[in-house]
Amino acid sequence: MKKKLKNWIPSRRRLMQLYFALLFNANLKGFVSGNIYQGASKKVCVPGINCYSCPGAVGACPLGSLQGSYSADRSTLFYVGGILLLYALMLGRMICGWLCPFGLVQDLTYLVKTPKVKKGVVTRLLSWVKYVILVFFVVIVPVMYAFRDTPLPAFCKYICPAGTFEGGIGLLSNAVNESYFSMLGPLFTWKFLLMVSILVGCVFIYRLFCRFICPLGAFYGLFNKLSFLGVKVDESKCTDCGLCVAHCKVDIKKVGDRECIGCGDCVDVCPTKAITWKGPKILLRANEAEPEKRKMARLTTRIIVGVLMLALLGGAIAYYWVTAPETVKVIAPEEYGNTEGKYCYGYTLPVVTKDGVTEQTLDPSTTGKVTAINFWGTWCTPCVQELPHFEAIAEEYADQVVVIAIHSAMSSETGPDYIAEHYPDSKLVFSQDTGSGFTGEYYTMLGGRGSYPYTLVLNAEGVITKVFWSSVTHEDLQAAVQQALES
Amino acid sequence: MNEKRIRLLYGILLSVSLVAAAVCLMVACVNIYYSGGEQVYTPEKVATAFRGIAIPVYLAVALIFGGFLLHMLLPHEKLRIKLGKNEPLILKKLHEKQDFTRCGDDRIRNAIHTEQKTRKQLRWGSIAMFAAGSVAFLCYALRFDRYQLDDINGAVIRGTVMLLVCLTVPFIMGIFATVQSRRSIRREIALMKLVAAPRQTEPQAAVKKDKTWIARTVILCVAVGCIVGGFLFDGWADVLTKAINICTECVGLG
Repeated sequence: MKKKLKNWIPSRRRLMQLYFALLFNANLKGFVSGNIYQGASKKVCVPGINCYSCPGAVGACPLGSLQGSYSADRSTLFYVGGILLLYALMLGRMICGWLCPFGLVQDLTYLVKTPKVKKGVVTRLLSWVKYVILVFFVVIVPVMYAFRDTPLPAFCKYICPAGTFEGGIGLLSNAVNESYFSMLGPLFTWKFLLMVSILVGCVFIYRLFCRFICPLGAFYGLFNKLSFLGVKVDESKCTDCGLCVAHCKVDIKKVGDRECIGCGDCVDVCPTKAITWKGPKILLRANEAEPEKRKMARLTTRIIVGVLMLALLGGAIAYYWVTAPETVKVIAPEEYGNTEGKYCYGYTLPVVTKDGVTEQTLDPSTTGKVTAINFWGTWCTPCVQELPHFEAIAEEYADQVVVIAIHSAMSSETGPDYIAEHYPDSKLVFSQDTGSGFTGEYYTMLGGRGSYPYTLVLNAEGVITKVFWSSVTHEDLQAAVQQALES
Repeated sequence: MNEKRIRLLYGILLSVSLVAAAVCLMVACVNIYYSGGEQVYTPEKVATAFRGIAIPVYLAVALIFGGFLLHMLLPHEKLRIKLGKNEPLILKKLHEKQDFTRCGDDRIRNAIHTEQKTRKQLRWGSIAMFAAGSVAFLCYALRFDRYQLDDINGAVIRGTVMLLVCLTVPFIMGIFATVQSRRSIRREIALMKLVAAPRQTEPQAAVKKDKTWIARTVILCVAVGCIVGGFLFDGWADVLTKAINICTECVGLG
């Protein structure tokens, strides 16, 4: 029994996977509050697939950022591309084997003791599918729509199971986000089915997503031979016994090729010890010392590294727990609020024209007309898509309705530029943050939970008559305006 | 019943229950979607639908945990690695030892030549098929007018269908070529065993100089340059904007 219990002790790789899954999702408070983290650490992309809409995520997803960067400023593409190149050069696909949180999920599902599908000719050929997905869903479609000024992260939207699992289900599972249920439809149905299929497939096929679908792994795989860390074969010691390839669960032809995830299982299996870790000498020096010294050096290094890593993780969790922003508390009479039937909170917004920010200000709650408040961003596909519907409503009900489009803070593509280019003669009233963060504050006051687009319709008295948590059609909007006019 | 059979039986039972639970979950989701109503999904509807499929899901979960217990009780399964024959390597080693061009029997020489030619044709044939499929797909996908704003989903679905149409045939042909190529290698191994003429001179392994450091240095410089340049020109701002706001479409909410 003792031996068996020993078999259940997690390996070094599993511990590292758990560690990094926790580190990349150190905002544990987010899981409790149901809000995503909005701090500065999200400027940096994490190496593996980890959805930035996960309540615990403290970094940006590299794939999502890359797809978003095509339609943003050119410097964003350089920034994200540089980070991806650096990760690829440092670690190659070792990221998949050691750091990726979704890789851990797949590894854990594979532990379920069922008969497994073995690798072969078909799986080897299927391993090319991820390159096709990389080209079509991560490059061609987002780039084509970027030329139309519409950001479209096609992989995130149509495929990514990590996004559905961490972001979608992660947010929905918190009772605070009950309002998100109102926006679920065909897209959620498709992505949920895909996610369940992939997760169940991972029980029978080792790392189904990594091997056949993941475009990030496909990209990192191209750098496997150049990466600083990984596994290497000493050709002079290799006897071509083929034990390493036979033991490996992914579709490698030889150790360290584009499919190798650097798990290191082959290192232990090789009978002639021809397979070793590659890395800077400072990391491997302990191997060269005498046995006794080597043992001590290893133990000391492990203790120091372990303590430092635990301190980093503990510090990160404590930091994110303490610094997570509290919800905005508004002191106002009871009849005021952010739900249907309440008087809308007032706020003084600056009006933006195509020439820039003007001195004119506006309070959406006291326009004296039916008012539609739409929170949007140039980086958000549905927001950009639905803006013409608001324009049409503003024209149709020119004397009765005011439509205020409030741009999300901190985008490099500023509102005035966008208005001048796309809506030069617009009937919409545009507002945008000028650096003080007030639109974000008003958004939170009105019940926004980090999701865009978000729309509220008020009647002439300033009472909220309809709240839309997702994108709207022209018919929806017309019905809501009509309802507000009649109330 | 021996332990091997117990493991197999348990594995089959668990597989069936897992697939059944997954199918139930998917059917429940599709049912909610098609039931429609003003709000397609509500917490109440989801709770009701999931209560209906609780038994298969609980059964699958119970079997998973029961399995871990079972594997604790049964004797430890030894890791069995089936070492497949590395036929290309065997052939390579045979060619290193023997020189078939000096074989006296013309029929063997010609047969080996034919096998090598067949494999070459299969290899280039499948490469050509993949290239043709890729070019056809790129000709379709790189037309700007196919990506209209009023029909984004349609454009992506049509592109995916075209992708499947263009690459399915090369994929099937690729499997066929690989299988045929393996058979050809097996035949050539059999023929090479009949060749008696040893190679007179040992083939000298070319000494490769490791030049990866050049590529590493170049990529490192490019990567660091891009990061620094991007950071200085506020490239991080858009990354942050995307990361701190939820684009509900991107996470599959709608």
